[in-house]
Amino acid sequence: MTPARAGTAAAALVLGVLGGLSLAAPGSLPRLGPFLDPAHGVFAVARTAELPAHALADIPHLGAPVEVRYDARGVPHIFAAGELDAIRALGYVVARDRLFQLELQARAGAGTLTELVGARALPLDQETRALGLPDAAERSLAALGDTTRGRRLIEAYADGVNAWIDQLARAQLPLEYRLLGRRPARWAPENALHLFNRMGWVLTQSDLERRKAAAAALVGPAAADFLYPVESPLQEPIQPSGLGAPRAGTEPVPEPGPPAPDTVLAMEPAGAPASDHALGSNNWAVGPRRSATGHALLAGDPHLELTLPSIWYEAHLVVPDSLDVHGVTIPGAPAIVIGFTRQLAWTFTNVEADLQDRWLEVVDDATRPARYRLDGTWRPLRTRVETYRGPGGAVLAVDTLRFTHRGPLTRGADGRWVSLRWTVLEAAPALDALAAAARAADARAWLATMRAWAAPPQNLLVADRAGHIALRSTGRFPRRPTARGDHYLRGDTSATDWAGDWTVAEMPQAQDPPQGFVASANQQPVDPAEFPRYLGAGWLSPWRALRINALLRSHDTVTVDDMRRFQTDPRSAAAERFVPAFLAAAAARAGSDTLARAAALLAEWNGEFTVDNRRAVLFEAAVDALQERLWDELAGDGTGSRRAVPRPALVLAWRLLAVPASKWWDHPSTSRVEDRDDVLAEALVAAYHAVRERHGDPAGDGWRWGAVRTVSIPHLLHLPGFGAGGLAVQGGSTTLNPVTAGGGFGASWRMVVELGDSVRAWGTYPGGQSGNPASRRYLDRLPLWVEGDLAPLTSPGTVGAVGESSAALTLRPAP
Amino acid sequence: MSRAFVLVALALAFAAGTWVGGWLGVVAVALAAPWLLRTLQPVTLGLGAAVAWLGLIAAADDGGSLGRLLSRLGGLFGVPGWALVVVAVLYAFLLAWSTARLAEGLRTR
Repeated sequence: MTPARAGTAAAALVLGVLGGLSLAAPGSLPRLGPFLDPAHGVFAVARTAELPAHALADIPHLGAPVEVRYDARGVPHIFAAGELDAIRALGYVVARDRLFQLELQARAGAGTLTELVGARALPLDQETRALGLPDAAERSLAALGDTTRGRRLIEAYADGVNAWIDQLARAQLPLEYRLLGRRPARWAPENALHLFNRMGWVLTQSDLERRKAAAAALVGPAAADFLYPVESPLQEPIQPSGLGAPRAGTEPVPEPGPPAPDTVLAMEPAGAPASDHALGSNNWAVGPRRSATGHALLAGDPHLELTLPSIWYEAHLVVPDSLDVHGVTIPGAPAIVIGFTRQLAWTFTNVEADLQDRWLEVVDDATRPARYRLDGTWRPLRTRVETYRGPGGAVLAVDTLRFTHRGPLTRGADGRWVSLRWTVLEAAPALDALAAAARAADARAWLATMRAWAAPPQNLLVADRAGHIALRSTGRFPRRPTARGDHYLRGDTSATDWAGDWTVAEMPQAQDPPQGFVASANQQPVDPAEFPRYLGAGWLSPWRALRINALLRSHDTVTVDDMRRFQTDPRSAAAERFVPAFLAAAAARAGSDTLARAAALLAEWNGEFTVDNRRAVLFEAAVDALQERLWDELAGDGTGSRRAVPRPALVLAWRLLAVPASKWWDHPSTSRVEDRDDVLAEALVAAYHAVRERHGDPAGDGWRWGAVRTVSIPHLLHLPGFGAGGLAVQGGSTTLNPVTAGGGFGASWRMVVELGDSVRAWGTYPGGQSGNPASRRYLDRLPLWVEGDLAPLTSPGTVGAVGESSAALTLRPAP
Repeated sequence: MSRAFVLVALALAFAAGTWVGGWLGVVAVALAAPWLLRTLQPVTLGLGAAVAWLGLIAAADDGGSLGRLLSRLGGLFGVPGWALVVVAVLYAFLLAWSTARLAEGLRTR
């Protein structure tokens, strides 16, 4: 072969390879040519990272032009002539900044993730559909009708999102779509319902019956009731009890007993931790009597899974003489979810109520049932065929779902058929209530509007300029003829079915209480000593509630800055109770040099989880070691691979501190009988060894809390390089700003509002307004969040009052 | 005609081609240019395409956005961010060179 021919052959080979890689995607990689193309490919993401100084767009059904001005923090201030126009504009600006997130979150609720990301999402989609969430969204949409306010809101939002999608230039395609080789789907109005259903799943999904049955299979039903108590052993309820202090339960502690018969349902998955370390949210408000300025103050920080971009998007909507609301929305929601107006401010925490019950059904066929037994007759099961498709439309799987009159029917690991009833599947999101509440004149009117809120139930906190503060655990709480909902119920009788809902008057609540403040942190809402009706079991630990109540009780002239500092307060109510117990046990079991050394180090701790603290690490390790040892009866088959996890584990451990000879303290695997101090001392020594081994000398930087416990915020798709990791923040697993091992949960939004002659607000969230990872607005809020600081939230009333804006957008009615 | 002038002219042509036709625009320009200037070597065409893509990539920057993007993409693919620019420029070079070389070979058969 001549050199010339060889050169031609080489060129043909190179061109063939490049052309092949550019025309067809190899594996999961994008097509090479379109991806690298600097005009329209991945590099164009850098060119479109920031908003243009001026932009103009047309939106269908817009009644009048809308002006949008972005401030220096990237917040769009939307000035519209009507509320529906404002919602159209909100859909447009959210899509402009968060298009991929919009679609991903809606698909997660619709169970259609496979159509976007492929077969790897199939298990998640199957779970979503098996729970009946898409089925419920379809029924909610039908129930909304064609002319209701709620329907008009979700359609207006869709107008805005789709206007952006329709005008999307190739260069503006978000990076994630390029990596997946996909184009955005048009936004359907019902996507808002899918989004809220997904939020309902995140906030209310519970497997209390299964957990309790698993525990009963190990230690008997009485002990299982202790491990998931209906009554939290430490009461600091949301509805103030009037005691002015926490109340400790004094009921006898059941000992671990023999396994209960017929408790063979699935146990905890392999590798489950011994402790729950459950997280939640905080909110509180102080009345004028306890604030330094004489005005009501409100603070809120909902804790959720942290992602980039954030679940929240900040916006300000103005409609003259009708609406002026500033706060955060969830991409896909046609309203400001948490925020403030010129009159009032509000925020939420989740009510950790039991909203799911499960019935063991009698069916006509163990493998493919068509009927179920009820009150002596056979009833047909409703069926629904679910088809899962890949990005190209190919069918990946087909499932047939079955429903009883209660809800979806699934087969348990032991072969039994279990139906689920869940308020989220029966309650359309009250989006119109949320939108209407933003027009309320005062706290009382706001609460009245939010009566319609059904699911997921929230501890609604509101404060107004007149100085009123109020909190109500609002949502649909079922009345149970069985009195309890934490055990599997008989399905062959309708006598076990729910019988209506709690009335609003029955819901836990407080308005302008004598103590001068209200607070919630996902704890049991009302002390059962006052109102002994079942609302749930296995409540979250009340440590945060104890701490915030202690702070508020000890400050009678609270300032805005106090409210901000409280949100990242470094002290723990759990540490205040456990450190003395560890030290007393070490003194009682003196004799070991290691124990004395560990106790001396723990005694040096000032009780604070600050970034530079060098002793908090020992306490956290000791608490973990304590729970590993204390709950060893729950280790299942002896291999340690399966176990029940109590909840609230650390509060139960605290309860047991008062019962030093309880059988719970004894290790079943040893011949001697251990008591409380033995186990506490063991745990402290084990923690000392573990921390020394992992982090070196106690005087070294390895023991710095900020080096040991950090927060990581992954990208929505968990793309390496697109998240933020190693963030040293103030807080421990039981502080108001909870930071747990692995650190992917936390305060997703922090807000403080002063309701004075004018309303002033401050806030931030971890991330930024833009979903474009090349934008300076992708992560620009993170440093402030890490420091526990807040930015002023300015709310100009008119376009002219915006001042210097970073970008302007004019939206016109489409011709 | 100076070599530098030719290179700049080619780069502009490739940039325009890319803007209009994406990566296929590079192929089109690499095929068309030799008809206008028969003395063009495939390597020169490759260089022109590489310069054009380098310029377009640099022009995509908006206040540091390119650096942020490269940093994140580098993390995603497990390579330094600048390596992606090298890959893109090399891709453009090879695409233009191989197209021109193949066309030249076929023309002279």
